[in-house]
Amino acid sequence: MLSANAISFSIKRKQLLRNASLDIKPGELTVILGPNGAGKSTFMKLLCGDLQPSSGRITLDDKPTQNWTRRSLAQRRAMMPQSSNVVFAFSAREIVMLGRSPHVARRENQRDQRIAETAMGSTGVSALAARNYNTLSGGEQQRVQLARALCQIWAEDKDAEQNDSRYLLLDEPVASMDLAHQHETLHIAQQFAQRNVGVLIILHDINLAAMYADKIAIFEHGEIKRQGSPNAVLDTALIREVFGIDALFQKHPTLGCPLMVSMPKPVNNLPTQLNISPTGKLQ
Amino acid sequence: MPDLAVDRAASKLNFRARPELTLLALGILLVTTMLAAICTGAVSVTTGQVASILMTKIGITLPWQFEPRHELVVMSLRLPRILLGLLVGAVLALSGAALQGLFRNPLADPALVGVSSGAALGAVSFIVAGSTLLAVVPDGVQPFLLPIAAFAGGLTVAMLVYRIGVVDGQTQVATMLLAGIAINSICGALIGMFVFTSDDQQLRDLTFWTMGSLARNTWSVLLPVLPFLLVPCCVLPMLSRGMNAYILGESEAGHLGFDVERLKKLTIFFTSMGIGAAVAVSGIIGFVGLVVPHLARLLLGSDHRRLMPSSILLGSTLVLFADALSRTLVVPAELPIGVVTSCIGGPFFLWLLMSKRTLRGE
Repeated sequence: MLSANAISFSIKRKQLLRNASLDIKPGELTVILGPNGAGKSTFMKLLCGDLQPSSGRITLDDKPTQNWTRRSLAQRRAMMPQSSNVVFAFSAREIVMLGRSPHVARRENQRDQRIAETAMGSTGVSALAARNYNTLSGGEQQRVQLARALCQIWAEDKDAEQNDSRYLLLDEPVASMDLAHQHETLHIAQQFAQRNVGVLIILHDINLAAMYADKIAIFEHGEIKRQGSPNAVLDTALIREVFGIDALFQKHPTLGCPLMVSMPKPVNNLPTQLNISPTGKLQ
Repeated sequence: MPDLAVDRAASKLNFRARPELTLLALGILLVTTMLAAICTGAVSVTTGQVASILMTKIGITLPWQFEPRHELVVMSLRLPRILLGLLVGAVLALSGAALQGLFRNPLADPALVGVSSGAALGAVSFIVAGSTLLAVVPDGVQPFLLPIAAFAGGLTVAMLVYRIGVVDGQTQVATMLLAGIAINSICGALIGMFVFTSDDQQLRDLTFWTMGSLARNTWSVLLPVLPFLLVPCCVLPMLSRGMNAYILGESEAGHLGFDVERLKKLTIFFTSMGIGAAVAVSGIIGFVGLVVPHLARLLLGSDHRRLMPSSILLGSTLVLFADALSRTLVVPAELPIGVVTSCIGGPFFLWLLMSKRTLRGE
């Protein structure tokens, strides 16, 4: 289990995260929702080790992350960033193969290559393998990065699948993907969860979250406001409180999960006309 | 013409499909250049004679006849010079590749960002002010002080440029290059001041420091810097895998289990060591660190495990070739080698600047 135990994070006396506790369990897909600036990305940066919490601690399988070696952490925990700017001409395959780094002593062997090819197949980028990463579209780059993250925690056999705890952290993975690839990506994440991986995803689309998540955590003002199953967490009052939007909830006609229908928010903070005095000053 | 495009892609891939063969070809190219460089010069020596001279040293007599003056030219002049060129070229190109990785930008050349002039300033300051130091240091250590001083100068500049040019893990290309211009002019001014006020024999030659030369080719000059040139050639390629991950980004390399801070420190330390040693014996030879890694990437791709060895081989070849030209173009005088490398590198740099890919970081 990858756990955040009452972690807080402040920078320059500004508290970005307060007392957040969340467990990411193997076999479970957790989705983080919340408005911009609610501390979602900060939370994920703490979980993946980019930042260290100002207080509280993060444990992996009950052992504080500082007590793990970098390499063994990397063998268990993979992170897909929001966007990655790769300078120099690397092929998509070379980028994916970098995911095997924590498992490789000197040079990738055939097994590593097989895993990389399979991972590329699963995110639908096999045909792009020889292409220069920089010439790919944003969505294609994200699928290559996803394949790299999958590659990093790929279970080598059934035994490893059951016994090694592994975690996949995805920061807005579907941001520049079309609808089909959004579903495909979340479906892959779900399959990984079914194969005993603990998955944590930041999303913006509440309906996508409701469809795929086992657990949803709602972030607001640097705190986890609520967490639990989609049915238990999502309701009209919460959406109004957190996003300031009126929404209705129905039952998804085929999946049974909550389905949100949002209402347009009346915009009344734009002045209809500017009042300018003859001297040219705004009144 | 789709067929042509496919053909071109195929021919481009061939180099990468068999990287060992490409590296072997580069090795053969280097050995050929070395042989040609040994034979070329004011006194012509044939390959056979060179072989005879070298073999006599280990007691084997070959049929090619040579005169004592040939032996003198080969053993005391050309051989140390070629070894020097070999190592200086290797180190400059390798350091270029490593610095470009560190800054994640293909324009980070040791001379352009000022590391070379920092090293030159370190060396010059030592020659001017070091005599007092020499008195207190044991004799055995004295020859090593010049490369160490150059190393210190290069290290200072490398750390400074990194501090100025990299904000939140992102290289600000314009800032990095402008910082390089500023540092180059500051160091250039100080070097000029030292050179023109000093009457030290070793210092009088300003072109040596600004344009470079392999003419200080005695064994006594070469031997003390040898370790400072060899160690970076061994250590930097060992960082290849971390460097590959680092190209994805600092935090991404961390997620893949690499110690990024250590990687950056080692890179800065050993590139400065290599550049310092190279500058201490051969002055500032510009553009090698810019041109060579770029060519190597075109040949073998950006994977540092292939980029670093191929940069070493190509860098040595380029410097030996440029040195052979500088020795023979205006005989009996000698062109500074930097004139030759700048003739190749200057236009290349302009081309890199003009191609938008570089600015986008591709």
